[in-house]
Amino acid sequence: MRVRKVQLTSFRNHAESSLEFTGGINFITGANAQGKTSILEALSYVCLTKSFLQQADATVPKFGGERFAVDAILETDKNIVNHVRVAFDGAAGKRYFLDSNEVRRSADVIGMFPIVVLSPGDFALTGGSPAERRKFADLVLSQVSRSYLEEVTEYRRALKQRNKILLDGKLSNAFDGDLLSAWTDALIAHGSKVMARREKFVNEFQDAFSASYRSLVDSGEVPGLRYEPSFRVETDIESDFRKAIRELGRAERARGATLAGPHRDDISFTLNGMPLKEFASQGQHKTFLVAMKMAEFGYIRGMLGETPAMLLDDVMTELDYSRATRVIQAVGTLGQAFVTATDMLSFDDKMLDARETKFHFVREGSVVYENA
Amino acid sequence: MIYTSQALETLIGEFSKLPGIGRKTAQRLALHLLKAESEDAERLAAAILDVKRRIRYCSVCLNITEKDPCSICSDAGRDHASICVVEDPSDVIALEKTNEFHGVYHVLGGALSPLEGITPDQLRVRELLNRLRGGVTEVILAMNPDVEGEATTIYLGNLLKPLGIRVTRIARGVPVGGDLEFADEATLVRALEGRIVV
Repeated sequence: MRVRKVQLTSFRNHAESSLEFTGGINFITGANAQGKTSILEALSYVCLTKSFLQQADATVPKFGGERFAVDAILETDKNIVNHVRVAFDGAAGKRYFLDSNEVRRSADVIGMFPIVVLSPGDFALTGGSPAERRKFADLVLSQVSRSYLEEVTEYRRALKQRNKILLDGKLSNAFDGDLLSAWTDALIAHGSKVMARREKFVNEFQDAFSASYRSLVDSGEVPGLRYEPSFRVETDIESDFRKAIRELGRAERARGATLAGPHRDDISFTLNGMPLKEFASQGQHKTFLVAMKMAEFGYIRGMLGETPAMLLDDVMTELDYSRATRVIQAVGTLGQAFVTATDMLSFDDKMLDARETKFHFVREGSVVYENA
Repeated sequence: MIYTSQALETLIGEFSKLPGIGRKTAQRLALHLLKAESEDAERLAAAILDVKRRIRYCSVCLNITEKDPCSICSDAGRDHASICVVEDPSDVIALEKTNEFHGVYHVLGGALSPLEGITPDQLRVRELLNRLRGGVTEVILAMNPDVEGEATTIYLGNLLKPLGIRVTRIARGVPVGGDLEFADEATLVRALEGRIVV
């Protein structure tokens, strides 16, 4: 997939900005707070229906307004051209249009125009809380499987309902055992499916991950990924899930919350069999992160048969020079990339020679082309 | 702000309380009635009052009805040993349109949802249990295919199975008359899970 054009209307500090992109590497440069990241955010809206920054839609309209719109021309690997429009209005909410037909469920478009984002917010992936890693797995799986997205949504709903019963019971000190058990069954039915998908995903992802790690580091280090469920799986997920809930019964009632299930999963990283979290250097964490993102690119492309676009936000400052260069070169030879940076000097000639490149200079919410 | 008359404003206000009716539509409806014949307006007013005065809940199945018990529950030609449990009266209408189900119904009045404060006590579960004493052999659970419907199905299943009654749930799958390629993935996955031997 490649983005040919995008137009931002009343989006963050962009009143009206239009950009035409190359299918190779697009460098978006400018000083701080001029609106570079906003352009990547707009691309996230048209491809994933939402911002990768995890911010509410209502924060996006340009100061003083209630609306924003993003229009984009997207072209798939099979050269099918789509016009996508995302329009937000404080009163009516967000609406998504694909070739002027409204798409009501985001699940119907997520995965059509895949993207992989590497932004400063991702640096918590390897060292941060388990929630970061669950979010990663969910985002990748949602892009390759619509049924996973629905399954995880239903699981969250069942979890909320069950937690309400536990919390009400804790506060009133009265439990309806039959009611709780019905929601336990619904929780286990959906949760087991979510867990099975995540386990399979981690196993499949492992190979792509090892390969991209080795392309970054010339050493004999063996990186590893392991799926870590919230309870021990010995026979099969469903019956062990049930066993865990049974054993946690008293604790759940005391805490007023569900204590086992995919909402407490983790994915652990290892290097030569040792847990990354405990001993790795900052540099090794960064290498792991970059390897994860490159593997995500390869995994999504393999599963969907559609090349994702790579959005690299401020990686030149966050990563060191050689890692950043390698990741840009690697994805730049495979598909379309968008790279934001404060100055052009940080890109060296090797990067620029690799593929067709284009520079977009952003100043105070406008895009300027020097030689145009 | 009152532009014309208090009476018209009151009518517009009442219309706009209805589901799916906004302020503009309410105004159009009110102005339409103003132009219509007096008899038309009276018929409408009478129909609204009739609905409230004459319709009640069937004491057996808790569906809406004019006479108690309702026409389905009092029909001797139907199979009273087979009860189909649904969430709302609209589900009865949908199933009746098929002309394929000849048993009787039980309207629960919703599905279990702790977040909205709906527990078994808010639903007509006790009424269902009371009905099972009279020679009922099968209970068909026909809830909506969402998480709440599913939990309700599990809850009722656990409650009824020990009573020695055959408890079934309706199948989930691909809509008839539609192309397979247009079915959404979640429905297809369910349909695959529920596949049967040919």
